[in-house]
Amino acid sequence: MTFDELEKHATLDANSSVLRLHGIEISTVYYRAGYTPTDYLTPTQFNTRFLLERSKAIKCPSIPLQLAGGKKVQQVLAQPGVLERFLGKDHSKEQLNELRDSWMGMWALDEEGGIARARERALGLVLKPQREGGGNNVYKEDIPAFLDTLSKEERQAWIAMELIVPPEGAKNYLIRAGGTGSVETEVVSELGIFGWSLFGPDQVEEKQVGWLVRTKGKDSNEGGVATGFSVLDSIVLI
Amino acid sequence: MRFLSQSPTFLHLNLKSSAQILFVVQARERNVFDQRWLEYELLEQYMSLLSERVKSLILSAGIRYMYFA
Repeated sequence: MTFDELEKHATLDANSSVLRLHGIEISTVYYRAGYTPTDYLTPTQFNTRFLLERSKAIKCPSIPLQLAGGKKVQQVLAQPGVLERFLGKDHSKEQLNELRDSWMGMWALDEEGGIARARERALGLVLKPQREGGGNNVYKEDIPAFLDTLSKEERQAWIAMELIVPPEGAKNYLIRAGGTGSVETEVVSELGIFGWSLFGPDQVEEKQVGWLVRTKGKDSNEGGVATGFSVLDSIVLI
Repeated sequence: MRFLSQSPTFLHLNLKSSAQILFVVQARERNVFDQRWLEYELLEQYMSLLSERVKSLILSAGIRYMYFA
């Protein structure tokens, strides 16, 4: 159902916080919508999301979890001392540094000198807004002109990240459904590991349950399978 | 889901067998890569538990990408 349909049919029991749809209790809410500003064109759609959030149903994801996946949060985690706050108790300084070393450099455009730094290093950067899926980022030589048009208020929504430099010479064939033939090209692959987490009052339970490889032509900046930039791939362990 | 229902936390949630899972989608949703596997798994595991009323509601409410083999 869409947010608009739910606005008409979803109810929340004030005492039990049970979410109901046509009188049927909902145990789990899985969001395939709600990740883009155009899903919230009116206050009503925000209110509907908030109604689902207040219910006792399991939310996939809850609002805090959705925000935690945001680029802004990644950028804040990369700031000095922030990782220590969350993992400092159970991990050594060496372990934290090792983890931090696996990240690319990130900064906020609205921080002191953030814009100037992004202009200087534009060719090695990507600018990212708080969005899911492909098609929203600004890359390399497009960055200076984009920064000219970005208002001071809008800067807060964007972060700059150093581009990952992939290994050279990896060739493969990209095949499009319904298309004719294939394209042989140098490719870049991205491995995603997914799993589930359940957040209880006292404990978190989590498990890795699968993986997904997306591959794109080396010259394409963007990724994303649904947006048509990437293709699904598989791994061969050598 | 099978793997989730084995979780100790999940078992303590006092689940009611009548409760349903809601998929919130965009109007004219066209992204199938994320939810299709979940739908197939759910239908395989739990379709037999759905009442006729729920089946007809799902159909009449226009939930897309629900298939009944």
